[in-house]
Amino acid sequence: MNEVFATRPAATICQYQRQRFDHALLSSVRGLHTDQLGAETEANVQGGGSGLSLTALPDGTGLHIDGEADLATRAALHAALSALDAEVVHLRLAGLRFIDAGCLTEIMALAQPPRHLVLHDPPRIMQRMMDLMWPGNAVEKWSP
Amino acid sequence: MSMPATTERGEHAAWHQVLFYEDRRQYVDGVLRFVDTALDGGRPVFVAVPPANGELLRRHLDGRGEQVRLADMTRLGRNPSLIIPQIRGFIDEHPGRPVSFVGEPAWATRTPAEIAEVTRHEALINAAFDGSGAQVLCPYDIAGLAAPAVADAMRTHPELVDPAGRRQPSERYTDPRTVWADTGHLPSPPAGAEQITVARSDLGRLRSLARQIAAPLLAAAALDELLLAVTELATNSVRHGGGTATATIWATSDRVVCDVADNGSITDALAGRRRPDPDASTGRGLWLVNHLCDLVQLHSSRHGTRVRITVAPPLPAAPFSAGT
Repeated sequence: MNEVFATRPAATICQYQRQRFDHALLSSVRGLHTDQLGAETEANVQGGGSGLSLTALPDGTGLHIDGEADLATRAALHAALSALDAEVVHLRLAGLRFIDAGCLTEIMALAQPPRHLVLHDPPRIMQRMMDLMWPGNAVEKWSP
Repeated sequence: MSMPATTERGEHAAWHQVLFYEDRRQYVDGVLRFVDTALDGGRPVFVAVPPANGELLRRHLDGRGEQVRLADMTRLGRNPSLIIPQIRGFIDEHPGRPVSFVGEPAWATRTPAEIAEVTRHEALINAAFDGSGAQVLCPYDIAGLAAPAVADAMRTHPELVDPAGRRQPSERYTDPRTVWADTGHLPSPPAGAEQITVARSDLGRLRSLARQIAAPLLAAAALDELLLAVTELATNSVRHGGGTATATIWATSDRVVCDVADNGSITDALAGRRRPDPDASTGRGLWLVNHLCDLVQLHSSRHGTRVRITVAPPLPAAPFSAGT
């Protein structure tokens, strides 16, 4: 991302709630970014509706993933997912407005036994992609 | 180029045949001869034809209908690029057994752009299933189809078979690579089309533009599919096509069309027609796009690549039936 944005008038803000990620992850994520915003509060993300917000669940078993997940935000998603080490991982996706195949691949990589992946409120198009690309997958889906 | 060695005319290539028919009698005679021979030989049989023709065949198959998988080609093959993956899936379901396939991909209300993609699909059949042991019969309605569709079928099928079962090599059979390259010129986008240059950080802006143009025409589900398709194409361009994509988007009265162009070259004519390895990091974009769109026209040369996708509102509940 840094490489691409270096010559372009755009800013991407990747949000990590400090109290909900462990120190090691925050350090590694910090190293990936050119700058760091100190605010604990929500920040507006890049224009055009793009941008991704990643928030750890309070019990450390997963993430809220909100916004739009595509090539521009894939590295941040990968870093956040890699830091999860629960046996049952919950991803809360009600606020996920878009996800591409590459970011879905990052999520599906979590679903390796013995780890169990639970998706809460996955968008319809994401379920369609899962059926097409990973037919017969064992991912658990919860929708209202 | 993954295209196998040129398919020779004659006995070796006789597994891909075209059946020209003028009426229902000829249709039933020609197709049932092929199906019966296959069933007698113990071959799994898959028939994908327009629904009216499927009903006609079902009535004449008598007790053997249950041995045949019958599908509606106007849905399965609405995007002709999806037909080869469906045949491949059927082959994979029957390991070690050569299969027989009846595919009728052309019908009278197809647009010229769709017919061009049908022709390219037919050419690629020769490359995709050469050596697989598959037998493929393609009925063409010469009473209903425009002349170019019929002429193209003679270029893409090594052998012609008539309703009485008489076979002859097609004099006009042409190397699949040549057909793939010389078929389906893309007309320029209309003057009012919106254009955007897309780098990695612009994918969200691309979706905003596409949404703005498509929202009046497409319901939520189709709109989501369009946004995913344009993102996958532009992502391919960013990753493999020189770092940026040029996307051009417009709407007609009944469909949304988007061109994504870049400086890369796609030399694999079967790109997007093979199920990707789920863990592979590449190769799934075009395959997914083929499943999301009603038509995908991919044109690539050493000067660059342009992929034109069309998304229309879903088919009405009563599907179109081809006349026979």
